[in-house]
Amino acid sequence: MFGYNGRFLRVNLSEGKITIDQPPTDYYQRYLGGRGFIVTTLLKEVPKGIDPLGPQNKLIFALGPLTGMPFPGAGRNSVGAKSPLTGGYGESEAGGFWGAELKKAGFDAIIIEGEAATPVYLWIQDGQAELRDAGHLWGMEVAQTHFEIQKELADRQVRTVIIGEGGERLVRYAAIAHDISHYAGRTGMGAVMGSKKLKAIAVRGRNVPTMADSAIIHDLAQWMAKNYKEETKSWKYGTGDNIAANVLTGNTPILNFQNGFIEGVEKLSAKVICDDFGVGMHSCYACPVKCKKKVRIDEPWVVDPIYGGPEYETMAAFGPNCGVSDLKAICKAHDLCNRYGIDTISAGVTISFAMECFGRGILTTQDTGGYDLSFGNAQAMLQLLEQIAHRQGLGNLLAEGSKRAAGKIGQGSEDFAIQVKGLELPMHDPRLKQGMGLHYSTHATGADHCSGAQDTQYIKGTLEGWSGIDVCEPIPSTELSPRKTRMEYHNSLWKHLNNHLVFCNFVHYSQKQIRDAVEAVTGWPMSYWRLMKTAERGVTLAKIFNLREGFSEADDRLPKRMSMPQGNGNLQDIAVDPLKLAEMQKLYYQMFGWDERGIPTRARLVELDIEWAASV
Amino acid sequence: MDQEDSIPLTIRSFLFPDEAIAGFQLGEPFAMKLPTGTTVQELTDNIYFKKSDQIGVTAVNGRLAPPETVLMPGDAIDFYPLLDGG
Repeated sequence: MFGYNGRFLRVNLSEGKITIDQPPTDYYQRYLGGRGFIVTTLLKEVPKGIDPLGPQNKLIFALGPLTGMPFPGAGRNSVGAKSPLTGGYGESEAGGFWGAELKKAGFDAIIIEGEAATPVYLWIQDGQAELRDAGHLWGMEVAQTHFEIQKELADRQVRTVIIGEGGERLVRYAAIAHDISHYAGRTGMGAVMGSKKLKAIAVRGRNVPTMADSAIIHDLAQWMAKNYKEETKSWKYGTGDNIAANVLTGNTPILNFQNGFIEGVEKLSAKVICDDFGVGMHSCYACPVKCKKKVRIDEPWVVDPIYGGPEYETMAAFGPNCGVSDLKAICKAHDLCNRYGIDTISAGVTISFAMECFGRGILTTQDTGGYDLSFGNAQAMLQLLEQIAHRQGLGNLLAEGSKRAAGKIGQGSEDFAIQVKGLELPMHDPRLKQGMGLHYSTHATGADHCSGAQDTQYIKGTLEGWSGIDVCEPIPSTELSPRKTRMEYHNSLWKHLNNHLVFCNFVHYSQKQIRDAVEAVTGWPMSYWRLMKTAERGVTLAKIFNLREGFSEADDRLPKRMSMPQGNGNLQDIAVDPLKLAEMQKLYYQMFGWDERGIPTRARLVELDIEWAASV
Repeated sequence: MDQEDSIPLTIRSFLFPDEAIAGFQLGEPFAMKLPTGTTVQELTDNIYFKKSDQIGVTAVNGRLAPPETVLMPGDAIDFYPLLDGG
């Protein structure tokens, strides 16, 4: 095979045993990588109904065909397991250098099984692997752990994935740090790693697998290096340079998704953060774009640039969503989440949930230990983040996520827990982006924004360079209709493909360039149809995983609040119509070859050659 | 352009213009003068005559502005691309 190593590393922590799997070529051809490797392993090897934080869960790090190849966008990796936050299919992706390093070290995936008796870390170097004691690293912050491991291995080129205290203490939305400042944040994969007492995986590799046609990849690298300032928007300030436009249109949640507008938002932008606190930008493997901010603040809180800086999701989650306008506090919230390894989206939306409970008198100063948890109280927000990471006081309850916390608090607070299947909503309001709402409601991981088509990109019609799979007419972002459902189906499938290729969403290649790249790396003839079918295979298998765990169409729902208009701003007369959403969900299911209850039909399973999954 | 028949505006855009404009920097405000009575649509057509389909949001003085909005002296106009994820 070209582009792959043909080897998965299997590590059983209970037995301290390390082995190597060599999946057949047709497995690679059918699933390509990332989600394909993760979901097939979970379905075949993880028993139904297990505790996500128990030894029977498996944590899988998976690369794609493009990972580690010498061109922009190829530095990412996926990680998946049964999610401790949702109880369903869990998956998250991160950039950086670690994924590329693992490919160069001789593996396409790592399957972590069992749980260690005491903390360990895994050290992989050029095809060899060993477990090492991590007792002295347990309790350390992410950056400190990284440098300690590099010192111990006497190699400053070692790349790492690491959990912080959030993962160690099983915060259900704990993240996994990649090379300190890149995070696989969503669905609680850091908690799974913590439950296995696996503090880190350190990797060093020196051999990139051969490509079938390296000239095409080199040409793409040169093309992007020449054109990235035109083809991408994030090279100057990262994301969040247009947060004012997001607020004006009603996209950015205000006060736990209650409102659509807040004054003073022009002061909250990536540009202001970079101008006032920025100390440069940093990048991922083989990428000139450098879309990641680095922020330094010395007072009143120390914000360490080693943890990067807040991007749009983080700025919005701890900013307008919590009613906080203090940029330093938002940067500090980002710093704390990264130090402790916690998802910024789930943390921000869980805190805004608690703030709303406080405002309504459901939580009081007795619950907080004395502090005022009103919207806008930046100090309280930061204090609560510390408590969540350390599972202290109210933080211990909120470390369970907004859905579980609302279940314990009761008193109608379930209506303010803004989540789907337990995963808190990202910073894209489904009342503006109604196709995204359809995606949030039906996706196996819960409310995920990365693989959904962004409605606001299609208001003028087909995206430039994206006519390989479909053309679409201009569709208003607030429309929810059959044509919107078709647009979401086609375009989100292409985005799901990135979870198999394990490729970056932010370097904007055309669909043809992506197709060419996969074919050039693997040497396998590649059509749009074949790529789309790969993505569809992954979506359907993830759906089957959830069905097996007891999910049904009743779980494909948006928070009740989405059926009510925002309290102010651009969308005061617009909400998601629940009946229309239910109708479009059924249409969407049918496009995937699922029945009206969202159960994949035998015909579609046979067509995708995944009929084996019907009996797992 | 007759100075008396023109109005001063401040423009900021997060998209490169179709043709080079002196003083333009991505995301940075720059000054421009346009004839009295110019609308948002006319300004858009002036700067983005090729890629107006890439503009997602136009704001005047920090508020959403429909295309027919008539620009007034001292207005600050922001152009944003089609809103993506984050």
